[in-house]
Amino acid sequence: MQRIARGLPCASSNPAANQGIRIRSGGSARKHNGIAQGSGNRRDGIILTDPLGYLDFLCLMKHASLVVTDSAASRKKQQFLGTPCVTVRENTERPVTVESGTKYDCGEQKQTPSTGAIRRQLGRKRENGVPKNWDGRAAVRIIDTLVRRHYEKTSSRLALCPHAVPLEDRCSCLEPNLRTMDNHLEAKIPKLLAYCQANNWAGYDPYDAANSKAFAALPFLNSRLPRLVLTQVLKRSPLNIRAVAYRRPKNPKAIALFLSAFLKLSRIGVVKAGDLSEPMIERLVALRSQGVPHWCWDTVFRGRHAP
Amino acid sequence: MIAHVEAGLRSFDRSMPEEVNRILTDHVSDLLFVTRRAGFQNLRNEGISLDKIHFVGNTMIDSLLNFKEKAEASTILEQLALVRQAGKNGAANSVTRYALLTLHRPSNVDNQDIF
Repeated sequence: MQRIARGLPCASSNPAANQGIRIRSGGSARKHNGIAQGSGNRRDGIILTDPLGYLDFLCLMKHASLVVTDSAASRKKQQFLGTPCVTVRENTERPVTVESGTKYDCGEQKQTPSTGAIRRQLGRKRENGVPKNWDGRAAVRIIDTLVRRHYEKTSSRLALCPHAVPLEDRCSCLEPNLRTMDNHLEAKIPKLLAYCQANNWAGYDPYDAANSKAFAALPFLNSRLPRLVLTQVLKRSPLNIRAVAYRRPKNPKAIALFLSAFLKLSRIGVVKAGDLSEPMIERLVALRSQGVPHWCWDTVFRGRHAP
Repeated sequence: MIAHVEAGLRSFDRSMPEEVNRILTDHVSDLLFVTRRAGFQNLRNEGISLDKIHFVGNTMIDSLLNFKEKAEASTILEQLALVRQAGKNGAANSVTRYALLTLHRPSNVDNQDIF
């Protein structure tokens, strides 16, 4: 404190400082306690204040000839405002204000540098050494990164999610390459649909043997071991025996999944809903379980023949 | 997911509780938003993977830019009598030259001899 005070009268002999410099101290509560006990009375030219609000402090910082601080946060702001600044501490976690030249550190333990540092600072012209990206858009970049990250993690799932489009609209600040679905995937969808349609939305299952009509025709085979054998033979055979004799069943669950996919894909504009969804609905209605008053569907799967 | 805004700052003095908090938080975070390029290097030196680190700038400057104009409306200079009244020759009010001092570090203010 004494060294700082010594530095200031020296500074006033500097032609740039033609007035006596008033020392104002303010800031954190901790400091306030210390100084209240330490210097007690109000010295000439020194104004002690209670801790100040953000706007008041900003205003004082902007109009000051010099800021002396040990606060990293004040220093950053002062650097941005271009006010000369001396830092009173031995180390700094934010050397950027030193690098860009708006500030000099003077260590606590050294005997003389305060005076020199203060003089140097006062003799300097005000200039802004503003680091890259200190442009008031840091928060926007943070949000951008968080949203991008979220999309990367869930891109394929989100593409089929009805919320995807409004979320993207809300983040209009994002770069255009941020799509809900990548183009590669989008190109594959029509091909897959065409294939499924050509196969009448039905296919083979590794455990088709469990549903085979052969068991109904030959009851003596319908016990655990023969079924297991037939299942594994069909499943492991390099030839698709089922292509000859087996009629692929229509599975209502599969049709319902297809239908739900159409509706979602049509909502984000990948397929046209009209031409596919209506026949699917009819098909689903036709597969309703008979003899029950409610709308329900059943599928048969004898999973116990799995190995 | 943990994101750390103002990551990568280092004083390299582990006797400061802030320093320990900074290091700890950086190492448990999934996303690290650094305010300056040197932050990148500090984190890389500690073995933090590059894809977690994002150089986004300084949110403190965001708020400063937002409130800069409003701060000009502050009457603190008048309250502390740091404004010279207009002279008889009609000159505009001018701000007295003053230095602003603020200290809070224990090493600066807790010991009366040093202070």
